[in-house]
Amino acid sequence: MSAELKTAEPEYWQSIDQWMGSPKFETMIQDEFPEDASEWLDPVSRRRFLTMAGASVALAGAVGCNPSFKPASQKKIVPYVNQPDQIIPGVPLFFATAMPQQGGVGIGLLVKSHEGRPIKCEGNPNHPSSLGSIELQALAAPLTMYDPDRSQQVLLGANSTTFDKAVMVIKEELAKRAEKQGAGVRILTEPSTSPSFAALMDELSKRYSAAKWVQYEPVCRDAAVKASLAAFGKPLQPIYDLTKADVVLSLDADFLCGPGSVRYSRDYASRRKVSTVDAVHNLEHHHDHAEGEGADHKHVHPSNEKIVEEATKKLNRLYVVEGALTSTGASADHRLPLKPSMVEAFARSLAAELKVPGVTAAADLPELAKKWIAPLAKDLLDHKGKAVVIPGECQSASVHLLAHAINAVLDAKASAIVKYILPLQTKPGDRAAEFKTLVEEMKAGQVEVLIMSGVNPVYDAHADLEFANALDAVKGKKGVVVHHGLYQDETSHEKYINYHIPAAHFFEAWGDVRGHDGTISIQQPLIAPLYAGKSLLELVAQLLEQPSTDGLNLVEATARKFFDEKIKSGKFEDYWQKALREGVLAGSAYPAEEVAAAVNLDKLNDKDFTQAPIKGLEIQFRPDPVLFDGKQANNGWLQELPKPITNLTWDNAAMVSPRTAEELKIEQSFAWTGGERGSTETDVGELTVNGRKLSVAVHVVPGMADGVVLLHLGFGRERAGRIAGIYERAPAHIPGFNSYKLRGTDAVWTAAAELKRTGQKYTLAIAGAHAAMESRRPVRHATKTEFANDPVFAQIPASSAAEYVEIRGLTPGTPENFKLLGMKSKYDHGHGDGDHKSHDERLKKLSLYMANPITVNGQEATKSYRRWAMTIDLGSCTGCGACTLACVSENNTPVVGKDQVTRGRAMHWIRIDRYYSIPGKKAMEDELGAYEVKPAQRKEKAKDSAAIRTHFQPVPCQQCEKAPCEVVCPVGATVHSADGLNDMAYNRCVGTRYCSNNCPYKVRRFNFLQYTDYTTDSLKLLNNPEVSVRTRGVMEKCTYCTQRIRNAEIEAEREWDKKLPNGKPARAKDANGRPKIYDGEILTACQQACPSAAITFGDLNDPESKILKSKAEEHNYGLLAEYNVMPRTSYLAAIRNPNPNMPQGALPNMATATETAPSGFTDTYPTHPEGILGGNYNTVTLGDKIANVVVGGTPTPKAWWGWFLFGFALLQALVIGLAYLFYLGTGVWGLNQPVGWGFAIVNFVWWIGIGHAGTLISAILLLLHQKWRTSINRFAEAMTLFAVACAGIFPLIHMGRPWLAYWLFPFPNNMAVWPQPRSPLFWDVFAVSTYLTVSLVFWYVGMIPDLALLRDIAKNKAQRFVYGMLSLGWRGSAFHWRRYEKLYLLLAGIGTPLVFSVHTIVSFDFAVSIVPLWHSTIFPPFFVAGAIFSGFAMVVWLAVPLRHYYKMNDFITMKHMELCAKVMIATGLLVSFGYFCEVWFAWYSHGPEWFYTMQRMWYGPYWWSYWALILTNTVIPSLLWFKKVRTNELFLFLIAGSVHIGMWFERYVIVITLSRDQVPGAWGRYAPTIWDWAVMVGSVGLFITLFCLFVRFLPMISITEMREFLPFKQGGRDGHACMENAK
Amino acid sequence: MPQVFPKSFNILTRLLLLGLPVLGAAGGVGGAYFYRSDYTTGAREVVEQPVPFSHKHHVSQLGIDCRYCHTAFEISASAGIPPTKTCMNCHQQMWNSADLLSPVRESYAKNKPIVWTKVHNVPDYTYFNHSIHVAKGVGCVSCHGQIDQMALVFQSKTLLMEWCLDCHRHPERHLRPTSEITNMQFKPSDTINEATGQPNSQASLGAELKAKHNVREAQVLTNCSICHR
Repeated sequence: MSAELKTAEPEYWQSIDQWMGSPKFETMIQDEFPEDASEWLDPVSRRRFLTMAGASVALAGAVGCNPSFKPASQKKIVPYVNQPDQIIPGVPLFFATAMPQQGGVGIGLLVKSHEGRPIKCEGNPNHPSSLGSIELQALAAPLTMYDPDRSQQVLLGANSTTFDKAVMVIKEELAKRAEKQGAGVRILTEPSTSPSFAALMDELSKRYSAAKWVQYEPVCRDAAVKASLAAFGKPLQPIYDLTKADVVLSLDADFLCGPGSVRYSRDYASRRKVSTVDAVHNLEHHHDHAEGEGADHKHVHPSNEKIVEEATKKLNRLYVVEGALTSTGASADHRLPLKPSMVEAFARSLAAELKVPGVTAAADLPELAKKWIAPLAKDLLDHKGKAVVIPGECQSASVHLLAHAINAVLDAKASAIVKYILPLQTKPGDRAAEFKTLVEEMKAGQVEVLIMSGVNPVYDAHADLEFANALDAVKGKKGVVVHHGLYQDETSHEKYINYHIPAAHFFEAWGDVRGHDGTISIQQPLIAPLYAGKSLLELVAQLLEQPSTDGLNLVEATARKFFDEKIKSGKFEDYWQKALREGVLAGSAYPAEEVAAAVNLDKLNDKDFTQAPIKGLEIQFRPDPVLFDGKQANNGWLQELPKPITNLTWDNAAMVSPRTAEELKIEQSFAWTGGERGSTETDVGELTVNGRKLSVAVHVVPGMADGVVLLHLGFGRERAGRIAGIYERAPAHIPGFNSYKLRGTDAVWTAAAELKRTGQKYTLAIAGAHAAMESRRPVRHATKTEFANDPVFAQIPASSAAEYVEIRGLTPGTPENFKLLGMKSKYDHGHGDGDHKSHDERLKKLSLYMANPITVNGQEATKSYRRWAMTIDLGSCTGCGACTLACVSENNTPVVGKDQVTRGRAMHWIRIDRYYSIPGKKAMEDELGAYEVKPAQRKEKAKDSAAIRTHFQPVPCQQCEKAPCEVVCPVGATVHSADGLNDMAYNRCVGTRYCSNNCPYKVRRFNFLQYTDYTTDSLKLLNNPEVSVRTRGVMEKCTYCTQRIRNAEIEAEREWDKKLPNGKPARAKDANGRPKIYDGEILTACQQACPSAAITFGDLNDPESKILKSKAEEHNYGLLAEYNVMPRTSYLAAIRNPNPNMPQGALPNMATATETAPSGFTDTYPTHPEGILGGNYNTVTLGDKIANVVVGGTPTPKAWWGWFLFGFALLQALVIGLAYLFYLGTGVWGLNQPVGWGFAIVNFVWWIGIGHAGTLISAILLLLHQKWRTSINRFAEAMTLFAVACAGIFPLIHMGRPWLAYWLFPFPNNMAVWPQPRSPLFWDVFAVSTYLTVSLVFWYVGMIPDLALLRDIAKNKAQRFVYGMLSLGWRGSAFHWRRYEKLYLLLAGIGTPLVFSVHTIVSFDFAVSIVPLWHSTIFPPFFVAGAIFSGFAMVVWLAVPLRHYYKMNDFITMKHMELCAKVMIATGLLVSFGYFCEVWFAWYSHGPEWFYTMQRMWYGPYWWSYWALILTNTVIPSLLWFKKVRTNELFLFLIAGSVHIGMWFERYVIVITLSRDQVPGAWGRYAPTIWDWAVMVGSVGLFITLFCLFVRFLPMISITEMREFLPFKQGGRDGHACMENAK
Repeated sequence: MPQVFPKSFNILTRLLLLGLPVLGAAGGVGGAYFYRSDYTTGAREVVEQPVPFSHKHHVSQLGIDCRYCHTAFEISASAGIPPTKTCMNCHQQMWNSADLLSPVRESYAKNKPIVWTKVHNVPDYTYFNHSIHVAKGVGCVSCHGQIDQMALVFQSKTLLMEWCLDCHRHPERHLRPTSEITNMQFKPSDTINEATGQPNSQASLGAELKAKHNVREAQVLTNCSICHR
């Protein structure tokens, strides 16, 4: 690479230590695609594996608040040489700029810049197109700017060259053609609204009059331009003022989503908000006013009906007619799914009904559509002057013409709802036609110099134009093709072009753009070009040899010109500075143009203008709601953002309605991994449009019009970068498919299509697919009428009012406020206290959890301090996703990639749940989710596209006051702050995921793998320095943007004594004496971004705050507030405004729609009177029989070797599994978002349970003088130890950061923080370690006499030494025996309670949570019984081979086996009783969650595991009632095996319950990976290995204790035989 | 069969049994000290810098106030390391040919910053904010030690979390009048208690200033999100 490639020295880089002189950065710049695409996309590839190895070692040292272990640090501080005036290190700056979007129309932005690094886009409140809100493309811009895949060098063919050389060559080419006035020169750019660029293009046409400038964009508004030309004779642009519209009809226009939607969303949503609090205020104010000042203050309070009427009178009504289901359609009051090609017919019929002159109704409308026309027309006419029709850009010019005509009839222009302004774009025209001409010219050889900028026609031009061939034609004829763009994309391939010049991102260059109303905004650079890009403005200025080629000068000159022509007053310098600061040129908005009263409809039936209805299947192309046209496809934030409606990530798909899917025989199912929150497996279809074919994944979307295939544009990039893929390198990793390949000039938006199933399958990553509310009503909605009938409809059950009573008690004017003050409510209409408004106040007190435990000055902190809270208005949410993306940008949320999303591990802190419903019998019933509706029925109902209603619910952390997550964290990493935040200290988190399990909302996100990119230098610059970057193994979640709160607090607190120049304090004090933080001073990132202003945030202790008012609304409710967790975030139920005369909508009922048994057992029935010792032994033979196994007298059976090698082999799986786990993190397992504990905890509880028999046999049976314990206690104890050891592995390895496990121990550490004793996990640590210790000591003490015996009969020196050491000098003296007996009994006493305590505590892990079916008092006894059950099964299981291979059946007799079997019968019955209780509790409580979870257990996705457990734990062990069975070794062995399986499934069922808990939107599925199995099988291997070693090297049966039975057997010998061996 | 181990092993065994807990305890205490020692925390360790800048000379001998160079500490989270320009304000005139200062002149001439080594190193997940501490009356010396006596700057406190929390739990132990923030020699007895008319102790001064400066309660100052975001 040549030296010229180095970037320009960035101006403000100096304080970024990684930036300067980083060799990595140099290589990054020089290497176009430094890593393979596939490597990035697959996070567990080898390269990442090695990186992780390094990372985890490095991280191990970073603990606590200790800077590092040895910090004579190598961290550097790099100050400025000359510090720029405006920069204060650590204080961000905001610059106003603007982003050119679709059609070159700009949105005004404020960009946050930290020490010269632009890190986040926010809306510019001064800009008319944004009003402080923002949409997705602009939010994602910072990541595109830092994208390491951006083009970084000027290329001549495949070789690098310099910018100057390239410009020189192009200038020469232009000069050559100067005499022919530039004939053959074409400039192809995106549509532009820039006045500065327009000036340059004027200059071009002056100099080269034969040169042509063509503007091209794949998603253009040609129909609209054509229609306005035909209608008004001028290419005017309609803009709408939706604040004035009472009724809006959208004809396939998705005006609430995508670029340019922000202002419309804001205006539209301003008419969707309902406030009873304001209504009361207005009515009161009005009333008082009417009464006059001197009147008697006798309040005649407004009636409830009046309040509701006042509150809902502003509510607008939206009708949507559309083919696809869009955000706009989802928000509609009435939605008609109609094939896009039929929309024109619909518009004609409507226009005819409205008596638009010269329009006749269309003949063939579907029935439902016909029914729509009359009531719709009536409603529009009833709201004449307050109604508007908006046509969609995908619709024909005739639809636009008709819309103009209808709007004229409706007086929309007269009332200024529609304003016609001058076209925003320079030289407006039919872009498609211009482009087509250009291609024809190129092919005809008329184009010699082609300069393309910002366009990518090889990728996105109409397929039938074959743009690539046209380029070949130009290049082949020695023409010059120049490509100027942000990326080396499909078009900039050396095959097609001569020169590629990197473009400057809009953050990097000066420019200007017009907003939607014509306002000019200044595009101000935030940073020097990162990759030496040049802006188009500068490039063209250089080519045209302008006197100044500097962007700033060009833009300033334009502004000066505008100032001189239009403003004229004041000084330009002041005007300019103000424009820079505010981002807009004041006074530059276009005024409304005069148009003729009658719309010219001459061309209405022109062939060019109309769209004929398409019979059969039809396709509609639409820009992707997230990626739009695909220019920002290489942006991970966008790719991973769940799309509105579908929640699809990383792909596009051909969307069809359920009925169409059925006709096409297309099916999809939740894939086994991830499932509802992860992946969907779907059929691949071959789509044919006019002979062009494309393979597409088909996705079934309820609500789509039947017979329509929706294809989103913008995917399937073949040369984009590591995110969107590079086809040549990794074809399998290209997200989505390129729909442009089907699109032609003959099929721009709609066309007839064919779709055939290919038989292949494809996995879509869907971040949330469960669409039914399952009767839980997470989303609450009502029509205006329903709301009037029952204003508190949302607060049923009463407990879901959350803090309602309390808040309303604080809010002046509400009935509760009066009640609290001991007055009679002035709005009490005789309902009395018994009415549905009263809430069960006991609920607040009934909680295991403390409310905010922090007290300040003796008061509950939240009362005396601040109380941050949030409401989300479901009535205005359009599901656009801006909140999610703003949160990603603000909080450094990592991108995880498609694979991880399919596993249900998307990291977004605020997710948008989408539910469908069909209005049912009762207004509030949600038929799709009602539990009487069986899945098959539901599937049938979902086919009725017209009846489907869509609901969005953004779910961030609800900041519960009694947060269930807090009590279960063993290390106190998530605790409450005084101001009521549910704080999450990432650096304290050890990653148990318990908090996430216990979160009823499932809003916590876990870094299962190392998701944050620590390696790409340029992306580090993007991070918000105010928020910690999270590492793997750490839980994260919404913090209410705590960094913004804390910074505002610091600012306020800093001003405690500051005075303004006028002597007044700089800040007022709040009621609690703290410096006041004003309402609106802190905006959360989501709130700030929301285009429809649906989110309110503020301090509940501030009596003037908007949030307090919002919480006092009648329709405010808390999600799952009935759990009494007191969520601080609550929702305002959606109030919709359907037209009762419409055929669909408010009207109810509109839906149409083993191992084989070892052979050769020879049982000799015992001769011991109790049947516990058989055979014929004396003390010596008995000792030898057992001891010879160990010291070598008995040859080791071959089977031992078999078992040992088998176990050892399995153990290797554990070793490999653990190594892999530690390198990469718990993400190698199948864990996901709802199921935070998978196999690890299943195995843990399973093993711990097995471990119970040992202590039970040794301790309890000893205390109860059960002699039969004697022969089985030793190996049972050993089994206990090994089982506990196996169990102990799991809690440790399942932690996200196991190296910090010691934080669970209470010791005075240097962080001065302690573990949290409220968490059962903390007690687990003690329970398990105590159990292990006591069992170990018990086992060892009991073995000492036997070890001494082994020492004495040892066959070699080594044995003698080892057993000698172990036997601790045992001589068998009476003194020793006395001590021994005493100690043994004492240990038995200590061990006994442990049998009960350990599993009781383990059961608390589940029982103290609020997860349905976990939260159960039955758990402790149930668990203990289960443990003993499984433990005895294991004893039986181990006894069988010992009896067989070592011929121990004299010692472990059939009597033993039978007794064990009897214990199994008893405990098995207890366990089965537990299963029964579970069912009974679920039924008796009738909590929907419990009931459902139970139902799902029976016939949900995991039905097999539940029934397997019933079969193996209850049914099969019942056979033990038969004596023949329990005295048959083979049967016993098989039944014990069955119990092992059953007990494992029992824990599996419990843990997997989580996959379907409280909120259906968060449901997912769980499937283990090979690594889950590896660790599980490995733990079995460990157990077998240890047990084999025990059998071989230690006495498996207690010799000394067995000898005590000998006198019974052989009367002549005395009982002191054991002394003989001591010699 | 003879005994495997001679009788003398008994005493050894007993010593071992007794010694284990003692060893364990000693290990724990030793570990605790080690973890808090200057060695591990890096306290009192003099760090080599590209220019051996002496705070002792500039502050206590020349009397330059902290604010002259560290311009941002009252308005920003970071105190601000002076740009080369600040050095050159004086050193253009004096010692303008000293060898010691050649990196400074070179930086200024070539517009390349001086790369200093960080001395007070707080982890990235801990958000310390200078401005709020000085606004509430915590002096520079409370965390940085007697900077005016240091020829080369070293970290004088452990910077462990327990050290942070000690002050957040008892802020009154470290408060002083906001006018004395940069005063390295300030003693509470320099001030007179308004109530008693006697010279203050830190206890009386701290209690008075805690109320006056509107310092938040320990229960608030120890919230996790006060420092960790």
